[in-house]
Amino acid sequence: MLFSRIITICCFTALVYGCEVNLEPDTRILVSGQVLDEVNQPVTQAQVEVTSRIATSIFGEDDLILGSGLTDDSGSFNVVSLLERDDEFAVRVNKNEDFTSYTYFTDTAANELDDLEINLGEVSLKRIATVSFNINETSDTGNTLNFTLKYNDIECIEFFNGEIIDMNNSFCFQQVQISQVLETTVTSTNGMFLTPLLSEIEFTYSINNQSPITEIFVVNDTSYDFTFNF
Amino acid sequence: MTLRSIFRKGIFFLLLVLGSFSFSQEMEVATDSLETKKYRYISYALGYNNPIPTGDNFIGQGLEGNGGFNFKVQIYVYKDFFVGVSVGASYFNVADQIVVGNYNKTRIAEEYLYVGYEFEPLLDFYLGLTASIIGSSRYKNTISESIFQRDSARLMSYGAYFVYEIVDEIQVYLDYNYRIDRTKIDVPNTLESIFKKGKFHQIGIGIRCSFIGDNFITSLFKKKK
Repeated sequence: MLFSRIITICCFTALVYGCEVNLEPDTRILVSGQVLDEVNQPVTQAQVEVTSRIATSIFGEDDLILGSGLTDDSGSFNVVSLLERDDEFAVRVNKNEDFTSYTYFTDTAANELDDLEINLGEVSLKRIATVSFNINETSDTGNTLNFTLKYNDIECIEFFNGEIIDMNNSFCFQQVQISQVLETTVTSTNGMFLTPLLSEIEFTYSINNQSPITEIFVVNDTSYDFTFNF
Repeated sequence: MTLRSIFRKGIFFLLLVLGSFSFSQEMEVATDSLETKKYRYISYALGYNNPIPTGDNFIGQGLEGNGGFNFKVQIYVYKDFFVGVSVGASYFNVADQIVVGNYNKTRIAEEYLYVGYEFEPLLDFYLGLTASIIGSSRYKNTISESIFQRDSARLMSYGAYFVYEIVDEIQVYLDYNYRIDRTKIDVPNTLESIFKKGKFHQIGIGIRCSFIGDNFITSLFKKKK
């Protein structure tokens, strides 16, 4: 009885941990591109990682780095990488927390890579601005304010089928919004969000259900304060 | 016919020769000892070597040597000319993942058939030259304990060795080999020059057992007589 239990435990352990993963043999690929910031200046020393999901046990999978490198003085990179057949084969480009990030996905299980190369072209990593907003009622007359703040998200993720972008699954600096109503009981609000530097914020408001008014601001500082009093 | 099957057949042939040939030698050693020049008919060598990457290629730029071993059998076919088989492995650490990709270690398992010539410039000292005829190598690139990637290549090896004879049957040697691996790695055109070939030196030491007797061709003639 004890012996059969030991055998069962050993078999289970072997199943969980004993799986050997072999990546695509006799193959190297080259991932290249150029990283530019919000004013089209090169971003140097940005980290480029080529990753694939690898089953590490029967319970799950982890991202495995197959190739990595840094951008040079011109923002260019050429990363030599191993290849794995995966429907979410990824190239991730990051600088640090002050910059947006970029992720490229492609399905290497279904699509052959042309000439074993992935050329990302120009990749945009923009500085991130922190926008703080304060909206206050100062008139003491019990007005109602409807407002919407539209701004760009800091993530850029693109899915490709071969060289064609899959728009349904891709989102890059997508526009998001915050909407709120201030009335008698709530007369002020504040908050913060992250958006790429030099992007536009669209502030639309309506006081007492009058015609909406839209104002557009350019976020020209990495710490940008926006105050609106009504 | 694949390279590996050629090898297996080559090794099988050598072992067959060994099996049938070594018994006949025992009888003839006594008569040969009267001759001034002694010839060997077979030697076995076991050696340790240090691989030293070189050149503008993925091994030279991306790897650093971390030891290796090989086992060689040489059959002397005519006087001091021999054919041999070498099997072994060379170990490397990855010095620059930017050049080769993200893995940490490489083990190159290698096997090749070679020819050579050995002579005695000084008493009890022998010098040998070798060149591979055909060979293959298999790279096992280790990313983690259970994740690997494999490459393969055809190899060429050119070498020289220096042997000191302790007694007739036992020698120690120093050897040098220059290895060129023509890889089968598929790469983009821009990486072709880096991955097409891998080159390294091997400097090693080892111990050799050899047996004095008629070489293969001489023994054939003697049998006819």
